[in-house]
Amino acid sequence: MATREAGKKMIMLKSPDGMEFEVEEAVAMESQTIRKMIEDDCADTAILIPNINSKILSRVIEYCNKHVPTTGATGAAASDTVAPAALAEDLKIWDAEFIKVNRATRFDLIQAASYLNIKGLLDLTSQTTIDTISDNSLEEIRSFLSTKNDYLPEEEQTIRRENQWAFQ
Amino acid sequence: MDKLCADALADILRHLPPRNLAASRCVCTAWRAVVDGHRLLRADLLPLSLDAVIFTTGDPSDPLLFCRPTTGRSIITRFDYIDADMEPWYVWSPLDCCNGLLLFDDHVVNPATRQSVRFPTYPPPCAVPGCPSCKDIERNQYLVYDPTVSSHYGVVLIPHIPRELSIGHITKHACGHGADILAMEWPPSPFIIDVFSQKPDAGRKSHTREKEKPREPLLT
Repeated sequence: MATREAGKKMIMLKSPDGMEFEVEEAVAMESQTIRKMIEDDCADTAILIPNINSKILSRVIEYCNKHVPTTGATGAAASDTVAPAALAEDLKIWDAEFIKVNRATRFDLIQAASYLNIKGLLDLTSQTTIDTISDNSLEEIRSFLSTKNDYLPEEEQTIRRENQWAFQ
Repeated sequence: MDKLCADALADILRHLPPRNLAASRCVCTAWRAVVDGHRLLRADLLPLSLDAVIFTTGDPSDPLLFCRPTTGRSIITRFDYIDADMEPWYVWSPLDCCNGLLLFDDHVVNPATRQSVRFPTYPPPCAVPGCPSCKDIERNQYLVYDPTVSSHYGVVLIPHIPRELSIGHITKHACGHGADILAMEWPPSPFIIDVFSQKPDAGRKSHTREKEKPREPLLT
Protein backbone atom coordinates (compact mmCIF):
# COMPACT_ATOMS: atom_id res chain seq x y z
CA MET A 1 0.00 0.00 0.00
CA ALA A 2 1.36 3.37 -0.92
CA THR A 3 2.00 5.62 2.03
CA ARG A 4 1.60 9.34 1.90
CA GLU A 5 3.82 10.31 4.81
CA ALA A 6 6.90 10.18 2.61
CA GLY A 7 5.87 13.56 1.24
CA LYS A 8 5.81 13.37 -2.50
CA LYS A 9 5.69 9.85 -3.76
CA MET A 10 6.32 9.74 -7.48
CA ILE A 11 4.56 7.57 -10.01
CA MET A 12 5.89 6.72 -13.46
CA LEU A 13 3.41 6.80 -16.33
CA LYS A 14 4.32 5.41 -19.71
CA SER A 15 2.65 6.14 -23.03
CA PRO A 16 2.53 3.52 -25.79
CA ASP A 17 4.99 5.54 -27.90
CA GLY A 18 7.62 5.00 -25.23
CA MET A 19 7.64 8.32 -23.39
CA GLU A 20 7.81 8.26 -19.61
CA PHE A 21 6.27 10.83 -17.32
CA GLU A 22 7.14 11.12 -13.66
CA VAL A 23 4.26 12.64 -11.72
CA GLU A 24 3.38 13.07 -8.08
CA GLU A 25 1.15 10.35 -6.75
CA ALA A 26 -1.51 12.90 -5.75
CA VAL A 27 -1.59 14.21 -9.31
CA ALA A 28 -1.82 10.74 -10.82
CA MET A 29 -4.62 9.87 -8.41
CA GLU A 30 -6.84 12.53 -9.99
CA SER A 31 -7.47 9.62 -12.36
CA GLN A 32 -9.75 7.11 -10.65
CA THR A 33 -8.35 4.39 -12.89
CA ILE A 34 -4.81 5.04 -11.74
CA ARG A 35 -5.96 5.55 -8.15
CA LYS A 36 -7.39 2.06 -8.21
CA MET A 37 -4.15 0.64 -9.59
CA ILE A 38 -2.17 2.38 -6.86
CA GLU A 39 -4.55 1.24 -4.15
CA ASP A 40 -4.40 -2.30 -5.46
CA ASP A 41 -0.61 -2.13 -5.35
CA CYS A 42 -0.21 -2.50 -9.08
CA ALA A 43 1.87 0.64 -9.47
CA ASP A 44 5.32 -0.46 -8.33
CA THR A 45 6.84 -0.12 -11.77
CA ALA A 46 5.84 2.26 -14.52
CA ILE A 47 2.15 2.23 -15.38
CA LEU A 48 1.56 1.75 -19.07
CA ILE A 49 -1.35 3.87 -20.28
CA PRO A 50 -2.63 2.17 -23.43
CA ASN A 51 -4.19 4.07 -26.34
CA ILE A 52 -3.09 7.50 -25.14
CA ASN A 53 -0.12 8.98 -26.97
CA SER A 54 2.49 11.11 -25.25
CA LYS A 55 1.12 14.38 -26.62
CA ILE A 56 -2.32 13.77 -25.13
CA LEU A 57 -0.97 12.20 -21.96
CA SER A 58 1.15 15.26 -21.27
CA ARG A 59 -1.92 17.48 -21.65
CA VAL A 60 -3.88 15.24 -19.29
CA ILE A 61 -1.08 15.45 -16.74
CA GLU A 62 -1.05 19.22 -17.19
CA TYR A 63 -4.76 19.26 -16.36
CA CYS A 64 -4.35 17.03 -13.31
CA ASN A 65 -1.43 19.12 -12.08
CA LYS A 66 -3.62 22.18 -12.19
CA HIS A 67 -6.61 20.52 -10.56
CA VAL A 68 -4.96 18.54 -7.80
CA PRO A 69 -6.06 20.04 -4.47
CA THR A 70 -3.24 22.29 -3.28
CA THR A 71 -1.91 21.00 0.02
CA GLY A 72 1.11 23.13 0.60
CA ALA A 73 2.97 21.47 -2.25
CA THR A 74 4.60 23.23 -5.16
CA GLY A 75 1.67 25.53 -6.00
CA ALA A 76 1.29 26.74 -2.42
CA ALA A 77 3.52 29.77 -2.65
CA ALA A 78 1.28 31.34 -5.26
CA SER A 79 -2.07 30.32 -3.77
CA ASP A 80 -1.42 31.02 -0.09
CA THR A 81 -2.89 34.48 -0.14
CA VAL A 82 -5.70 33.89 -2.62
CA ALA A 83 -9.30 33.29 -1.50
CA PRO A 84 -10.89 29.97 -2.58
CA ALA A 85 -13.51 31.74 -4.71
CA ALA A 86 -10.87 33.62 -6.64
CA LEU A 87 -8.97 30.37 -7.03
CA ALA A 88 -12.03 28.67 -8.50
CA GLU A 89 -12.49 31.58 -10.87
CA ASP A 90 -8.85 31.29 -11.92
CA LEU A 91 -9.34 27.60 -12.54
CA LYS A 92 -12.36 28.31 -14.74
CA ILE A 93 -10.37 30.72 -16.87
CA TRP A 94 -7.55 28.22 -17.05
CA ASP A 95 -10.00 25.48 -18.11
CA ALA A 96 -11.46 27.68 -20.84
CA GLU A 97 -7.96 28.31 -22.15
CA PHE A 98 -7.01 24.63 -21.82
CA ILE A 99 -9.94 23.43 -23.93
CA LYS A 100 -9.10 25.72 -26.84
CA VAL A 101 -7.81 22.86 -28.94
CA ASN A 102 -8.74 21.46 -32.28
CA ARG A 103 -11.47 18.89 -32.61
CA ALA A 104 -9.23 15.87 -33.01
CA THR A 105 -7.29 16.76 -29.87
CA ARG A 106 -10.51 17.30 -27.95
CA PHE A 107 -11.82 13.88 -28.92
CA ASP A 108 -8.48 12.37 -27.90
CA LEU A 109 -8.82 14.15 -24.56
CA ILE A 110 -12.36 12.83 -24.11
CA GLN A 111 -11.16 9.34 -24.89
CA ALA A 112 -8.32 9.71 -22.40
CA ALA A 113 -10.54 11.23 -19.70
CA SER A 114 -13.03 8.45 -20.20
CA TYR A 115 -10.42 5.71 -19.93
CA LEU A 116 -8.54 7.29 -17.04
CA ASN A 117 -11.83 8.24 -15.36
CA ILE A 118 -11.07 11.88 -14.60
CA LYS A 119 -14.49 13.37 -13.99
CA GLY A 120 -13.55 17.04 -14.16
CA LEU A 121 -11.73 16.68 -17.46
CA LEU A 122 -14.49 14.50 -18.89
CA ASP A 123 -17.17 17.03 -17.96
CA LEU A 124 -15.11 19.87 -19.41
CA THR A 125 -14.38 18.18 -22.72
CA SER A 126 -17.84 16.64 -23.11
CA GLN A 127 -19.70 19.82 -22.27
CA THR A 128 -17.69 21.73 -24.85
CA THR A 129 -18.68 19.18 -27.48
CA ILE A 130 -22.28 19.08 -26.30
CA ASP A 131 -22.58 22.86 -26.56
CA THR A 132 -21.88 22.55 -30.24
CA ILE A 133 -24.30 19.64 -30.73
CA SER A 134 -27.30 20.90 -28.78
CA ASP A 135 -28.75 23.48 -31.10
CA ASN A 136 -27.82 22.00 -34.44
CA SER A 137 -29.75 19.90 -36.90
CA LEU A 138 -28.85 16.29 -37.46
CA GLU A 139 -27.09 17.15 -40.72
CA GLU A 140 -24.95 19.77 -39.00
CA ILE A 141 -24.07 17.37 -36.20
CA ARG A 142 -23.08 14.72 -38.71
CA SER A 143 -20.87 17.05 -40.67
CA PHE A 144 -19.39 18.65 -37.55
CA LEU A 145 -18.47 15.31 -36.05
CA SER A 146 -17.68 13.80 -39.44
CA THR A 147 -20.08 10.98 -38.70
CA LYS A 148 -21.69 9.26 -41.63
CA ASN A 149 -25.40 8.64 -41.75
CA ASP A 150 -25.53 4.90 -42.36
CA TYR A 151 -29.29 4.59 -42.03
CA LEU A 152 -31.45 3.63 -44.98
CA PRO A 153 -34.04 6.36 -45.52
CA GLU A 154 -36.88 4.12 -44.34
CA GLU A 155 -34.84 3.06 -41.35
CA GLU A 156 -34.24 6.66 -40.33
CA GLN A 157 -37.94 7.40 -40.64
CA THR A 158 -38.74 4.50 -38.32
CA ILE A 159 -36.24 5.66 -35.71
CA ARG A 160 -37.59 9.18 -35.97
CA ARG A 161 -41.10 7.94 -35.39
CA GLU A 162 -39.99 6.15 -32.22
CA ASN A 163 -39.23 9.51 -30.64
CA GLN A 164 -41.36 11.80 -32.72
CA TRP A 165 -41.73 14.26 -29.83
CA ALA A 166 -38.03 15.07 -29.99
CA PHE A 167 -38.43 16.63 -33.41
CA GLN A 168 -41.49 18.77 -32.70
CA MET B 1 -15.40 10.94 -34.14
CA ASP B 2 -15.25 7.49 -35.62
CA LYS B 3 -12.36 6.52 -33.43
CA LEU B 4 -14.12 7.47 -30.22
CA CYS B 5 -14.94 4.31 -28.37
CA ALA B 6 -18.52 3.65 -27.31
CA ASP B 7 -17.84 4.41 -23.65
CA ALA B 8 -16.35 7.80 -24.45
CA LEU B 9 -19.23 8.63 -26.76
CA ALA B 10 -21.67 7.63 -24.04
CA ASP B 11 -19.83 9.94 -21.65
CA ILE B 12 -20.40 12.84 -24.03
CA LEU B 13 -23.99 12.06 -24.85
CA ARG B 14 -25.08 11.64 -21.26
CA HIS B 15 -24.63 15.40 -20.87
CA LEU B 16 -27.49 15.98 -23.33
CA PRO B 17 -31.07 16.71 -22.25
CA PRO B 18 -33.55 13.93 -23.16
CA ARG B 19 -34.88 15.74 -26.25
CA ASN B 20 -31.44 16.02 -27.86
CA LEU B 21 -30.54 12.56 -26.73
CA ALA B 22 -33.58 11.12 -28.49
CA ALA B 23 -32.70 13.08 -31.62
CA SER B 24 -29.11 11.82 -31.57
CA ARG B 25 -30.38 8.25 -31.97
CA CYS B 26 -31.03 9.29 -35.56
CA VAL B 27 -27.48 10.46 -36.29
CA CYS B 28 -26.19 7.00 -37.18
CA THR B 29 -26.47 3.37 -36.12
CA ALA B 30 -23.43 3.60 -33.85
CA TRP B 31 -24.96 6.47 -31.90
CA ARG B 32 -28.24 4.67 -31.53
CA ALA B 33 -26.39 1.60 -30.29
CA VAL B 34 -24.60 3.73 -27.69
CA VAL B 35 -27.75 5.52 -26.51
CA ASP B 36 -29.71 2.28 -26.27
CA GLY B 37 -26.84 0.11 -25.04
CA HIS B 38 -25.95 2.46 -22.19
CA ARG B 39 -29.62 3.12 -21.45
CA LEU B 40 -29.02 6.84 -21.58
CA LEU B 41 -32.68 7.59 -22.27
CA ARG B 42 -34.97 6.95 -19.37
CA ALA B 43 -37.63 5.29 -21.47
CA ASP B 44 -40.00 5.27 -18.54
CA LEU B 45 -39.86 9.07 -18.30
CA LEU B 46 -40.46 9.89 -21.94
CA PRO B 47 -43.69 11.11 -23.48
CA LEU B 48 -46.12 8.36 -24.32
CA SER B 49 -49.32 8.57 -26.27
CA LEU B 50 -52.37 9.94 -24.50
CA ASP B 51 -53.98 7.20 -22.46
CA ALA B 52 -56.65 8.92 -20.43
CA VAL B 53 -57.84 12.25 -19.17
CA ILE B 54 -58.35 12.96 -15.50
CA PHE B 55 -61.03 15.50 -14.75
CA THR B 56 -62.96 16.91 -11.84
CA THR B 57 -66.68 17.62 -11.84
CA GLY B 58 -66.74 20.31 -9.20
CA ASP B 59 -68.68 18.01 -6.90
CA PRO B 60 -66.93 16.89 -3.76
CA SER B 61 -65.77 13.59 -5.19
CA ASP B 62 -62.53 12.09 -6.33
CA PRO B 63 -61.42 13.05 -9.85
CA LEU B 64 -62.74 10.87 -12.64
CA LEU B 65 -61.04 9.10 -15.50
CA PHE B 66 -62.09 9.59 -19.11
CA CYS B 67 -60.70 6.79 -21.25
CA ARG B 68 -61.39 3.88 -23.53
CA PRO B 69 -62.53 0.80 -21.70
CA THR B 70 -59.63 -1.60 -21.29
CA THR B 71 -58.74 -4.29 -18.86
CA GLY B 72 -55.04 -3.68 -18.47
CA ARG B 73 -55.18 -0.17 -17.11
CA SER B 74 -53.06 0.59 -14.09
CA ILE B 75 -54.24 4.15 -13.59
CA ILE B 76 -56.96 4.76 -11.08
CA THR B 77 -58.18 7.97 -9.54
CA ARG B 78 -58.47 6.66 -6.02
CA PHE B 79 -55.53 8.19 -4.24
CA ASP B 80 -55.42 5.86 -1.28
CA TYR B 81 -51.70 5.31 -1.88
CA ILE B 82 -50.84 8.87 -0.94
CA ASP B 83 -48.84 8.91 2.23
CA ALA B 84 -51.04 11.18 4.35
CA ASP B 85 -53.11 10.86 7.50
CA MET B 86 -56.46 11.51 5.87
CA GLU B 87 -59.85 10.04 6.64
CA PRO B 88 -60.91 7.47 4.02
CA TRP B 89 -63.64 9.84 2.80
CA TYR B 90 -61.21 12.68 2.20
CA VAL B 91 -61.53 14.02 -1.36
CA TRP B 92 -58.34 14.61 -3.25
CA SER B 93 -58.80 17.49 -5.60
CA PRO B 94 -55.89 18.38 -7.88
CA LEU B 95 -54.71 21.99 -7.97
CA ASP B 96 -52.75 21.56 -11.16
CA CYS B 97 -51.46 18.94 -13.55
CA CYS B 98 -48.55 18.80 -15.94
CA ASN B 99 -47.43 16.04 -18.30
CA GLY B 100 -48.87 13.23 -16.26
CA LEU B 101 -48.16 14.51 -12.77
CA LEU B 102 -50.83 15.84 -10.43
CA LEU B 103 -50.35 18.51 -7.82
CA PHE B 104 -52.32 18.41 -4.60
CA ASP B 105 -52.11 20.70 -1.61
CA ASP B 106 -48.85 19.31 -0.37
CA HIS B 107 -48.20 16.34 -2.62
CA VAL B 108 -47.09 15.62 -6.14
CA VAL B 109 -48.54 12.37 -7.42
CA ASN B 110 -47.88 10.21 -10.45
CA PRO B 111 -51.12 8.28 -10.97
CA ALA B 112 -49.49 5.95 -13.50
CA THR B 113 -46.94 4.62 -11.02
CA ARG B 114 -48.89 5.40 -7.86
CA GLN B 115 -45.99 7.27 -6.41
CA SER B 116 -46.51 10.29 -4.25
CA VAL B 117 -44.08 12.77 -2.76
CA ARG B 118 -44.98 14.90 0.20
CA PHE B 119 -43.54 18.40 0.35
CA PRO B 120 -41.86 19.81 3.36
CA THR B 121 -43.81 22.76 4.79
CA TYR B 122 -43.51 25.82 2.60
CA PRO B 123 -41.62 28.71 4.14
CA PRO B 124 -43.98 31.56 5.05
CA PRO B 125 -44.43 34.36 2.48
CA CYS B 126 -43.11 36.89 4.96
CA ALA B 127 -39.83 36.44 6.74
CA VAL B 128 -40.92 38.35 9.85
CA PRO B 129 -42.03 35.91 12.54
CA GLY B 130 -45.59 36.37 13.77
CA CYS B 131 -46.50 38.87 11.07
CA PRO B 132 -50.26 39.50 11.38
CA SER B 133 -50.96 40.43 7.76
CA CYS B 134 -48.90 38.05 5.70
CA LYS B 135 -50.53 34.90 6.95
CA ASP B 136 -53.54 35.78 4.82
CA ILE B 137 -51.64 35.94 1.57
CA GLU B 138 -52.66 33.04 -0.57
CA ARG B 139 -50.29 31.55 -3.05
CA ASN B 140 -51.49 29.81 -6.16
CA GLN B 141 -49.57 26.62 -6.81
CA TYR B 142 -48.50 25.46 -10.24
CA LEU B 143 -46.70 22.36 -11.35
CA VAL B 144 -43.97 22.48 -13.98
CA TYR B 145 -42.67 19.30 -15.57
CA ASP B 146 -41.28 18.56 -19.02
CA PRO B 147 -39.72 15.11 -19.29
CA THR B 148 -38.15 15.98 -22.63
CA VAL B 149 -36.02 18.62 -20.97
CA SER B 150 -35.35 17.19 -17.55
CA SER B 151 -36.56 14.44 -15.26
CA HIS B 152 -37.03 16.98 -12.47
CA TYR B 153 -40.30 18.73 -11.77
CA GLY B 154 -40.88 22.02 -10.00
CA VAL B 155 -43.62 23.79 -8.09
CA VAL B 156 -44.15 27.50 -8.52
CA LEU B 157 -45.96 29.57 -5.89
CA ILE B 158 -47.40 32.83 -7.18
CA PRO B 159 -48.80 35.08 -4.47
CA HIS B 160 -52.39 36.20 -4.85
CA ILE B 161 -52.48 39.89 -3.99
CA PRO B 162 -55.45 40.86 -1.82
CA ARG B 163 -57.06 44.26 -2.44
CA GLU B 164 -56.43 45.69 0.98
CA LEU B 165 -52.79 44.81 1.25
CA SER B 166 -50.37 47.64 1.90
CA ILE B 167 -47.78 48.47 -0.68
CA GLY B 168 -44.61 46.54 -0.42
CA HIS B 169 -46.02 44.11 2.06
CA ILE B 170 -45.14 41.05 0.06
CA THR B 171 -41.62 41.25 1.23
CA LYS B 172 -41.35 44.28 3.47
CA HIS B 173 -42.89 44.08 6.88
CA ALA B 174 -44.52 46.99 8.70
CA CYS B 175 -44.47 49.32 5.75
CA GLY B 176 -47.37 51.46 6.95
CA HIS B 177 -50.66 52.08 5.22
CA GLY B 178 -49.98 52.92 1.65
CA ALA B 179 -52.36 53.40 -1.21
CA ASP B 180 -54.61 50.58 -2.31
CA ILE B 181 -52.65 47.84 -4.05
CA LEU B 182 -54.84 48.10 -7.14
CA ALA B 183 -53.54 51.57 -7.78
CA MET B 184 -50.15 50.11 -8.49
CA GLU B 185 -48.84 48.33 -11.49
CA TRP B 186 -49.11 44.60 -11.40
CA PRO B 187 -47.25 42.83 -10.05
CA PRO B 188 -46.34 45.06 -7.14
CA SER B 189 -42.68 45.40 -6.55
CA PRO B 190 -41.08 43.59 -4.87
CA PHE B 191 -43.00 40.43 -5.68
CA ILE B 192 -41.62 37.12 -4.62
CA ILE B 193 -42.40 33.97 -6.54
CA ASP B 194 -41.14 30.88 -4.84
CA VAL B 195 -39.90 28.11 -7.07
CA PHE B 196 -39.33 24.74 -5.53
CA SER B 197 -37.47 22.20 -7.52
CA GLN B 198 -36.00 18.75 -7.23
CA LYS B 199 -32.85 20.20 -8.68
CA PRO B 200 -30.43 20.99 -5.88
CA ASP B 201 -29.39 24.32 -7.37
CA ALA B 202 -32.80 25.85 -8.13
CA GLY B 203 -35.15 27.96 -6.05
CA ARG B 204 -35.20 27.77 -2.31
CA LYS B 205 -33.03 24.97 -1.15
CA SER B 206 -35.37 23.98 1.64
CA HIS B 207 -37.45 22.04 -0.87
CA THR B 208 -34.77 19.92 -2.41
CA ARG B 209 -36.09 16.50 -3.22
CA GLU B 210 -34.13 13.90 -5.05
CA LYS B 211 -35.45 10.68 -3.73
CA GLU B 212 -38.46 9.83 -5.83
CA LYS B 213 -38.75 10.50 -9.48
CA PRO B 214 -42.03 10.50 -11.38
CA ARG B 215 -42.44 8.15 -14.28
CA GLU B 216 -44.66 7.43 -17.18
CA PRO B 217 -46.32 10.73 -17.97
CA LEU B 218 -49.96 10.31 -18.72
CA LEU B 219 -51.52 13.63 -19.59
CA THR B 220 -50.42 15.90 -22.34
